[in-house]
Amino acid sequence: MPDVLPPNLPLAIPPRAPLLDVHGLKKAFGGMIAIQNVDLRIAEGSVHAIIGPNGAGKTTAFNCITAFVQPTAGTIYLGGERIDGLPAHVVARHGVARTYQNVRLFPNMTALENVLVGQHRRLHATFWEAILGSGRFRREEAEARARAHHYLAFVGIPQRAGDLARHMPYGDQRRLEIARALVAGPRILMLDEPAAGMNPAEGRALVELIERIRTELGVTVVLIEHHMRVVMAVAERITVFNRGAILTEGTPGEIQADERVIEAYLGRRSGQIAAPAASPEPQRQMEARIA
Amino acid sequence: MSFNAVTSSFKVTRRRKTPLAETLQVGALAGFAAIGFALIGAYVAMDKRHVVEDTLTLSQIAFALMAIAAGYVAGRDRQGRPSGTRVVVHGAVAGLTAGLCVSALVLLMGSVSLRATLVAASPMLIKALSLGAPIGSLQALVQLPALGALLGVIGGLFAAMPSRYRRALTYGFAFVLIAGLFRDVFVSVLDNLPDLNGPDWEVFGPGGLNRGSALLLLVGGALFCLVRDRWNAQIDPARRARSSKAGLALLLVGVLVLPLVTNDFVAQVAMLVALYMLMGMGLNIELGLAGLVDLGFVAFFAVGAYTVALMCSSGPLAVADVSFWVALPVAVVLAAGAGMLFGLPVLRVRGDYLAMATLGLGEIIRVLVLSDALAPYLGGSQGIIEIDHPRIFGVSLQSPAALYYLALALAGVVAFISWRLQHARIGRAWLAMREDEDVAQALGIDPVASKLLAYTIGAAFAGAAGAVFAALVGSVYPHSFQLLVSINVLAILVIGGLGSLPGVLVGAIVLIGLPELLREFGEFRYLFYGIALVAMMHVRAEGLWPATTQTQENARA
Repeated sequence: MPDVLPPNLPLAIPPRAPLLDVHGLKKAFGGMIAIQNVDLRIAEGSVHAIIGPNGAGKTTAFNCITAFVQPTAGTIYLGGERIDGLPAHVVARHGVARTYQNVRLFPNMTALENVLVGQHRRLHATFWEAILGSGRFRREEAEARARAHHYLAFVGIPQRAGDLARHMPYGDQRRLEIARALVAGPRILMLDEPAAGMNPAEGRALVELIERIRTELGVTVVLIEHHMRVVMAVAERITVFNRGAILTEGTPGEIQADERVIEAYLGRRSGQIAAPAASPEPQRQMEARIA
Repeated sequence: MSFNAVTSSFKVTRRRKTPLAETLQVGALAGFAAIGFALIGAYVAMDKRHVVEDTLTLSQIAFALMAIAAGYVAGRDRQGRPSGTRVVVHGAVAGLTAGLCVSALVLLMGSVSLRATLVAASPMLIKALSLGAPIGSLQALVQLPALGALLGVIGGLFAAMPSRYRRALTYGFAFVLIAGLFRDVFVSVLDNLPDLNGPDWEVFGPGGLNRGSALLLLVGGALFCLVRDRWNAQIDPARRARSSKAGLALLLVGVLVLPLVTNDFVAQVAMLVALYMLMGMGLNIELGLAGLVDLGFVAFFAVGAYTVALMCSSGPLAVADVSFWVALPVAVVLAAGAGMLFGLPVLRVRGDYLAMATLGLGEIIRVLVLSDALAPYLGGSQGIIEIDHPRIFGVSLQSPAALYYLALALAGVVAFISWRLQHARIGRAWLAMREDEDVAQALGIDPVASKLLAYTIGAAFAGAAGAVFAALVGSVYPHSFQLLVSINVLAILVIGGLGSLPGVLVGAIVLIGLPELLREFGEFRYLFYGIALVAMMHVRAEGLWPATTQTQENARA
């Protein structure tokens, strides 16, 4: 575990602290170092994209922040509170919500129930109140249902409330996953490849949805994404991962102009060692998209 | 859920053969099933039970069903659509093959004595399979394949008819079978009712239905189904919901008056069903909702039973002599406490390992109770006797009917609590944990706390069941708390449908009620148990009354 400053020391929080502040993050699986020296500062209310070739450690960084895995070293602060080392459900209660690279819904529950589960930390009626059906319990349940319907409508699938998640089309499943994450009222929403498998029209709808999440709900968004059109359209800042470390960070314009980024994706010319990990398929995609 | 994973792996794609080869195979399969059925002794045992007096015995029905099923399967073509000649020819061939198999068995038994190895291959079996024809005669050998062919054609026609009529016939047949099988129950009901049917016409003979009433039931059941289908198709959903509510109310009334209109034996069976329902609902919280496989469930049942035994017994081992109503909450609390205590170490293990860990815990309790060390306090294998019956307003609840109402009332309370929890925050959290533990945790659900709560509540319900059990039997012995009880409860859930409250009721009736009412076939109980489980996993892995349809209905309502 990191041996750095204790949580509440003023020094640890720079002036105008970013919402999410990751410092010196490292994760090793046995001898294999997945990421190291990762510093991330995500400004409140921004949309921040993380890009990089496959295997660069983007999802591992996500998993460390959401406590899916425990980091080997480094500190993570959310809104000035230290959240690394906490179990995943406590991190979630601090206001971190996420979606998954391969959609992970509760397949045998309806869309409505999925979103109701998402409100777990917003509901407070106790066990006994639930059994006795107290006034607070009933009021809370009614509110929860209304809120669930509201968020299903917000992501654009109000008609799906009664459908089992596993029976829904792929695009709607992605939206449902976002609704489930949003309904908890998070401070930061972490989307892992939300546009994966989407066609251009769906991609544009996603860009619009992310915009609304930021402006209407005031939720900070971090997304991992390979679709450059989506990234360039929504992100204010972009962090580029390569080989388990941060290659560079900047505005979309800066990143597009950066030689090293193109090199990381496409490999170097003239027989030098090519960038590892990137499989040929995304390379081709990237070539097409950056161009 | 892991059960789904197991069952889906059974679905193997079948290689295609020529239609005739497939038909022969189906017929042979039915024939072998019939031979197996006869050679384990089930045929002779069930031949004594008449469904229709002097006409049809239970084992004849079983054989007929096998032939009809063969014809039904053979009658369908590859797309599952029946076609005219195919139905008749293939149905007949399949039934003929099945009949030939049985004939071959009869011939073999007639010429060689198989009794040295197969006890059931007795002259009685030969006589029964000859269907009244002279034993060893040509007629005895020929009639079986002929009957088989006829039934096969019926099966084929059954496959070919519109599903409406197929359903209607199934209903009519089910009515006859149920009425004939549970003759004693219905007779006791009819005896208790005012004399409506008059002395000159009896529905039931001494062994089963009378022929006339069987026919009447067959037609009546079919008509009932047709009328109901039409009714359902025409009226609007709101009225249908109202009529289904009326059906539910009718069922409730039936459940309430059941012991009053039948005899003590039926009341006792009903009480056992209610008891298993209590336990089933407990395990339903653990396994059905939270997805925790618990094979040591009987331990909490034992804790509840022993608590009541120690507190209410007038024997030498009693630690207190209080009323059942004081002991019941103590039993529930102690069982819940045991659940929590057990849960703490084992709940960090997942899936199959949890099953093993809980299996061990269940056995520990039983062995502890049996041990010499605790014998002075718990009576060892001698158990605790002379447990007082519960009293209400000075009236002792002794009759099976009274105890049935006690168990039923508790089951009602437990069902209500389960239902409330299931539709609250914690119930949804359990379901989410069952579906995907990591994701549930990332949504803010504390996995250990919610699992522990599920385990504790499940244990509390089992404790309540144990308390009633002790009060009912009046004595507790360690051998009442075998692993088999846990497995029975587990099977109830699987048959009824995991996570479904009505499923628990259906499962308890099917797996506990029916076998008790059909006591005479007790030796084949676990055989049919096994067949039922395997068949369920193939045909309807989600259970008889699955939970998902309810959630969808709830969402639409």
